[in-house]
Amino acid sequence: MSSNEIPPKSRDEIKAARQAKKAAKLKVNNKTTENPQLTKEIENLNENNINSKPKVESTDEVDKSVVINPNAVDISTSREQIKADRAAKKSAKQLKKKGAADGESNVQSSVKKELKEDDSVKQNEDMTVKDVVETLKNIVSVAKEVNEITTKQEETGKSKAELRAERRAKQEAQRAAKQAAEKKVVKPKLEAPTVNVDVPKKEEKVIKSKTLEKSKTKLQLAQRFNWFQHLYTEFDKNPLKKIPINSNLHPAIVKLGVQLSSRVVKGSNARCIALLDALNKMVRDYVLPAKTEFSRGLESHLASSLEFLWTTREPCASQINAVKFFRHHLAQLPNNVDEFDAKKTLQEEIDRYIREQIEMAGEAISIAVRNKISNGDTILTYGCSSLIEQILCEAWEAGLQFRTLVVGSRVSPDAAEMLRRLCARGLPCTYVDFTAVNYVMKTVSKVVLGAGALLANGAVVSAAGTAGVALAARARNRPVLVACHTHKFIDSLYTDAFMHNQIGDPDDLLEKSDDNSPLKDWRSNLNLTPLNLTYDVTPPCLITAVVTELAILPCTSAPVVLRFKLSEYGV
Amino acid sequence: MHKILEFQVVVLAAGKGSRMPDVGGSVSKCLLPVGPYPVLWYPLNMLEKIGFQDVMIVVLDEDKSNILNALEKCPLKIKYELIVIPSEEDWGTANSLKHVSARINTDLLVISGDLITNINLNDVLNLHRKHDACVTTLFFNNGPEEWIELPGPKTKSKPDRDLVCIDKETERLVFLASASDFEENVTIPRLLVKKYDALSIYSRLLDAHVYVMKHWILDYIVDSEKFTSIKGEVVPYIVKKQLTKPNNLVEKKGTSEKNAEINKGIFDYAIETGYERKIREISAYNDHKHGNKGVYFNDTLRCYAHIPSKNTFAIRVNTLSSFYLSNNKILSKWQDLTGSSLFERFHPNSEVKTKQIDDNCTVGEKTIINEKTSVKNSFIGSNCNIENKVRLTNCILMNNVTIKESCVLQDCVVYTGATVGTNCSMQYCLIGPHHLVPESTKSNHQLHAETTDNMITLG
Repeated sequence: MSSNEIPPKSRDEIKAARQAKKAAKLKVNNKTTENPQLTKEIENLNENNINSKPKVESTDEVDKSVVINPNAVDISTSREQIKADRAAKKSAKQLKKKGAADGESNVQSSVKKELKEDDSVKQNEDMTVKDVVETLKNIVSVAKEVNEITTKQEETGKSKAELRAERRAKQEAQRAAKQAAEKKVVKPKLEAPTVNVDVPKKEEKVIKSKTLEKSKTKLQLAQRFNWFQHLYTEFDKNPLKKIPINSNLHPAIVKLGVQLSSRVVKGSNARCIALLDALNKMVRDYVLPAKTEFSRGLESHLASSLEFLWTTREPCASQINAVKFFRHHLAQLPNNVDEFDAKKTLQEEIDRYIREQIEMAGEAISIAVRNKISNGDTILTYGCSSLIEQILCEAWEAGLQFRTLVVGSRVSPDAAEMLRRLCARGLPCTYVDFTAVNYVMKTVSKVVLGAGALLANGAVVSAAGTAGVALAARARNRPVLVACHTHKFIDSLYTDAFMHNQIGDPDDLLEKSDDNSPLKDWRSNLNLTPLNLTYDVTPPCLITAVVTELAILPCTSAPVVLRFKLSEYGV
Repeated sequence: MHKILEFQVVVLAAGKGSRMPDVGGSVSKCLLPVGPYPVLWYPLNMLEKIGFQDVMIVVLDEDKSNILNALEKCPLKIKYELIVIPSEEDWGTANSLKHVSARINTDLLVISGDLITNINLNDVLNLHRKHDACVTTLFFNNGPEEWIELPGPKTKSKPDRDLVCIDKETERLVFLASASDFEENVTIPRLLVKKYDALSIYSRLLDAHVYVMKHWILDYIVDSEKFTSIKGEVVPYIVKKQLTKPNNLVEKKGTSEKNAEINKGIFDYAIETGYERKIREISAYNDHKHGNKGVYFNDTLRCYAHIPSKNTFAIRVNTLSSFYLSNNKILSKWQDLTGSSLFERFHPNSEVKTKQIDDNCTVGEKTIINEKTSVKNSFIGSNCNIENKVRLTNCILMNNVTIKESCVLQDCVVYTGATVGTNCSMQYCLIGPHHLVPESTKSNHQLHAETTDNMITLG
């Protein structure tokens, strides 16, 4: 039995021994690079091992097959020793850190202070290195014992017992190492504070000043509403101060950028026309570089221009569609097109887009809505929309007798502007604040709203407050018509106003005429976070119908319109 | 890549310094030293800093070579081109613009060559862009000029004042006139009061002589031939014209083509090529709250004036006091003004042998300052020679000045090529160009120059 069993074991053991050797070598090599002191220790260890070998051999020369075992065990133990060493060192290091951390926490300061504590840490290191040496010696002695035990066990040939014993020895060694390390690191911990006391005070000051600086940036960050952190890219007015002068951007683009950013051009139709107008001028003045295809040259120019424009204000649906349309026509230009012809084509296409998609479409919508207005109606509208203004004015001029209720919120002056425009045309108007919507709703016969964008799921993105008005109308069961050009239909969809929105100027929330307004210096009040959202999303269930230039549709047929436009215009 | 320029810059540096005291001989205003560099360097540096690559500088014929020499010695990356106008004829600023008009094909930025300021010009340009204005100007509201004891004989100079009327909320410039045009009463057009519910009238603003104009205004200036000065005539005219409505098109059709050509008014130049009007109409923006007028009161001409906050530094070096004041302050504001720190206060080719020279001094090229001299708060130009035992305090020495032994100069301005004889003692004096001050002169608040009028004040 024993003679049969021994050879495979010995083979395994030999393999194990080889692997262990390799591993040990590698580790030793690694460690030599790590720390000279440690390598010395390891050398000591090896010496110890070597010393231990002859003892073992001398005792176990009885059986040759067993002679191999002690070596293997020896080496494997040496590997284990090394492992144990490493574990011990690791634990020692961790403890060191902990100790340092504890020491610091005693003085109420953060972990970052280590820099200036270097001196004291060095002392600790000296101490701990000694400790480590001692623990290693302990380990070595333990290992010797293990060897002795194993060799004895090997004589009896109990291999499983060997392994168990080895494991125990390992664990014991590790425990011993840990305990030793702990004990000896605790001492410097106690000593350290006396050395450190002077240093942390200075550091605290430094940290205080740092925290002050941080708190300033935090102050700006803190005054951003938590849920809308991702939207705060605007009203960082610095980009306006750094507008490159006489750069590659066309002057019309730069001007539009400033106007978009300062909200001189606002409203989705105005923004769309302004963008196309700027593109028109850009195309007009574009000079093709030599050896470039027209469409490619202009495309790169367009890309850089748009990049600039979108930093001044996020594009709205109508602008995205206009750009899509422009790119479509740009890409369709033949490769060998003459520069003059290409410009002419593009400019004509831009003019056509404005004429067909905005002006004529507006007229069509105006007629469609006019047919729905009857004499004696009271039409409620919210905010300022160029299209609604056109509809109402044309309906009035066509002789319809109706009354208009303009609803506005205090934050934006848009509704007041709408009121002014309607009054200037002689329409009988009433203005109520948003807060009174529910009250006046019972006198209203129809609600006509403008839209910023119509999403694929039929939801309407419009000026903040529109959803509230639609909801109030729904509660009173009044029809809600949304007038929207098809060039504002967009194939993205979202159900709430959290993901995509824009942050308006927080200063708009202030009552400017009131000098004693408590909001006056909100920037210095950390607990105050003004939030001025620009848009909201009206769910499709609140909208009776969408009036487009194609037809009056339920808003859930938005995908149909998108598909139709794709087949008709390719955009 | 071919660039389409947004603005072309014209720096007007052909001023003769009519507001400076007459010190005899010619001193070109734009070459007066402020700190280590001539005045003209500061606007150029400012333009360079915000990103302009080319400028045109209008200079007088006689100054051209001097200016070229002076600018070569200054650290400037911006490309400049000197455009010469004749020295003999007394050309106004509008005439100068007419002169360069052929080279300008974009909107125009006109800057005076004597402006030292730390304002970010982008603010002015953005105001111009924002409202698509036809003229945008820049005024500073820094309160009255600091009083400082000036060198030279005491004079009672009355600074020119402008009456500037601005709608504070939109920064629209609605009224502009020189205060000297009025005796007792100022009449403000009734329409203004009707239009705006609050107007701010200023009389102590410092006009920076910065004008951003549309290209068509230049065309108008060229064609109309009735303007000589931008500030005095062109801008007030346009500001006034904001109030009038363009003539009816129907009337014009009745007149013959020749007549139309002659009667071409300013509104015929203000033509918009694109959809600007439509965009203005449908955009929900409006610049005023009351009344039933559209945005900008449907005005085609719109002038704006930017007034930066009170703590911006601005000075126009066109009087002796501003010249002296700017030198007084330049080093403390250096970082702020130029965006860089001043490395070489003493030119590497200068010889400064004394140790008694403080940090508020600069020394120009090839200047020799001998031992045992004491120099405090003084700016010394190039090629100067300061002999032993001289004491200089708060002085400005231009180029090629010689100060002989044992002189004591305090708060003096010494012009180019002057020589101060040995053992002089002077306080608050002006020493004219190429003048020789005799030995052992003692004077206080005097002008020493070659002009005959002032010979009496000598001694």
